[in-house]
Amino acid sequence: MVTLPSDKEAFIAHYDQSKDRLPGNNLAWLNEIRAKNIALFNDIGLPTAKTELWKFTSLNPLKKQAFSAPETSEPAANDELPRLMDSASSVRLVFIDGNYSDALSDSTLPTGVTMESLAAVLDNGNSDLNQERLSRPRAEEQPLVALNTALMADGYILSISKDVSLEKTIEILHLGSGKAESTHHTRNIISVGSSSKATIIEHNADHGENAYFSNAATDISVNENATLHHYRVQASNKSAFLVSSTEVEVGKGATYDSFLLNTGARLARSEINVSLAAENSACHLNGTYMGTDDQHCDITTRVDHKTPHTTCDEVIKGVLAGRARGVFQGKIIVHEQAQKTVGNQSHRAMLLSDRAEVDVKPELEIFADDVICSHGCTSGQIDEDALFYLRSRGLSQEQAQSLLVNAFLADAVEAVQNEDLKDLFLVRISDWLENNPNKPA
Amino acid sequence: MLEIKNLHAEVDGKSILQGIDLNINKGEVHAIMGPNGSGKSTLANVLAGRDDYEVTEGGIFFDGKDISELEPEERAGEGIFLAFQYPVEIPGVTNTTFLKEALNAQRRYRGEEELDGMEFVKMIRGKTKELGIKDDMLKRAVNVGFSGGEKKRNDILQMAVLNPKLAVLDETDSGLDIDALKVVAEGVNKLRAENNAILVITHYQRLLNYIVPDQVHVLANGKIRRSGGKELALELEEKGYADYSGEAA
Ligand SMILES: Nc1ncnc2c1ncn2[C@@H]1O[C@H](COP(=O)(O)OP(=O)(O)O)[C@@H](O)[C@H]1O
Ligand SMILES: [Mg+2]
Repeated sequence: MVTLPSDKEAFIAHYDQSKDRLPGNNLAWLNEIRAKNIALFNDIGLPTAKTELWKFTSLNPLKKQAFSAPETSEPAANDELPRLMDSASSVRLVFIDGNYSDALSDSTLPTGVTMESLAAVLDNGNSDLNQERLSRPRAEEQPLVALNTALMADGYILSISKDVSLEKTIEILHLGSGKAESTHHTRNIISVGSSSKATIIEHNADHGENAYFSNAATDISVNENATLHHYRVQASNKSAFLVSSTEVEVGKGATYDSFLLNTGARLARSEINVSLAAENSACHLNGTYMGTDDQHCDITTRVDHKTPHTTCDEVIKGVLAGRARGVFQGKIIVHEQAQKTVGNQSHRAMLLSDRAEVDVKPELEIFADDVICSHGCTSGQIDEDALFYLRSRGLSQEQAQSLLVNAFLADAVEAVQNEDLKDLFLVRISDWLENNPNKPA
Repeated sequence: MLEIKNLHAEVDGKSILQGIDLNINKGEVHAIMGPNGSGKSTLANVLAGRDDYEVTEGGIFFDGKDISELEPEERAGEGIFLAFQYPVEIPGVTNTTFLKEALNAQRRYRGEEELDGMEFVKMIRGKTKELGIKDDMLKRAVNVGFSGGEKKRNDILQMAVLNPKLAVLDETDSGLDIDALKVVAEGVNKLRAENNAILVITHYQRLLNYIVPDQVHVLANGKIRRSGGKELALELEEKGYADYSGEAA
């Protein structure tokens, strides 16, 4: 059998090489968790086509690429760091190759916000961070989360106290420095105190075009009557592998509002699981993705309605050119006691080339009887009649296509309430259209 | 201005136009009438350059230039405008954005200065006022949720903004009640001028009461079977198309 450079064994070797220098290596309970999770990963291995949640996303391109063990060394300062929001309306935290950089991050956080780096917390060993917060309920189905738990080297622990309404957006930059073959297993925790409101925008960007592997796991709790707007701009270079798993717990009367914009990565897989276990909890899982060349973008969501009167809205739109592939898997589970659930899901993909492909798997599992649920998935080519109509008025083929694709995607951005961010997403969409070959192949 | 010579065209290998000859001069209004399926919309689409239609013989000359190989946007730039039988809805693109992009694309094609935002707004306000169209129509997505009448009025607005040399109106009267039809016809008549021409395509004579043609042509089975003055339309109204194709109208 041919061994690929980054098969299961390679990652297990990363663990062996780095376990004595990972943060918190003097904490017995942590070493135990890491050991347990690498054993779990060893049992399951990397996801394959047979793994239930990975049917449509193959990690073969990742396996063919060599990667090295996580490094905990201080990141080098970089000249230009991308920033999405201006400094008057945001505070920015900076992670380089998965490691927090205190020096490059804004020093003052808004009142009511605390941020600690995971590495610091584990090394100091004096936090209330415990086993509970680092174990996932379904780790058996999430081998990459198990790998993350075994190898996590840094991340953020962000807490927003109760009764604060943040005016400034918290921007978190995840920058790839350009170092080849690097792997980042970041572990993040966000908690929003009751009756608070916060906006967090995460930005994946890079210096250089080298391949790296980012495997993030984020646990979020939005407490009673709080609202978290969680946005992501995934604009990594087109060699990067960007895998993330986000687990959200939404409290009574609280809202988790997310929007994902993906233009980057060779392979991007974003898994979001939301538990609506308290009355009047709500979530919005919206997004747009754009792919070209051999990019692969996977959005996999699961929403568990566990109690009466919970709501979920999900609108995702994608545009694929070249040989790009899109995957949307959306599961909505309405548990028996979750009467009066409202769940609406839609995914629409536009294929700009004959070789682009999309796989979708919407799943509704409803065990309650008094619910309003809908889902719809469509995919197709650009509307030829509309193209001809626009061209007959003087627009070139490219202009007409661009206008139609833009309108198609912009519709999904309507869900974003923050006007500045809405504009930012719209600009990203037009930039993508301008810079990417968008002629039908 | 427009010279169509022995034009043959096919769709999906099916021959539809079988030798059309037609000349339209500056300042003239021509009408093409014919039974359903006779090839009227095909002719309109071929003039506008739709690529599912293949010209197999003959040619189309516009101001002396052979345009049969030009892209649709190039023909638009040359001054050809097609009001579609079924105007297309474009969700998410407002009329203003669409008109501005279209006008500036045509101006670029002709080597003219583009209009900036201010100039465009001023121009378009003038046009809506002239045609009695409410400004809120500009903010709406192109044809989305428009009634049949609104769609056709939107065509007239586009025509007024783009100011084509040749406007081809394909069944502009279909689906309109008499009041809407009058409004649309009035719009078209406002745009009649010495330097441009109009080709009205219709199945029924009634539109021609309001847009009075200089010449009427009967198209049947892919060929022009007869041409005459405006009285020909009245004759067709009375007798139908049975004489021309051996099939009922
Ligand atoms: N895109 C197409 N594909 C196949 N056949 C077509 C297409 N468009 C028109 N036709 C056929 O060509 C003939 C003429 O159609 P059309 O030009 O629409 O007629 P009219 O507008 O006079 O009613 C009809 O037989 C019609 O079925
Ligand atoms: Mg027709």
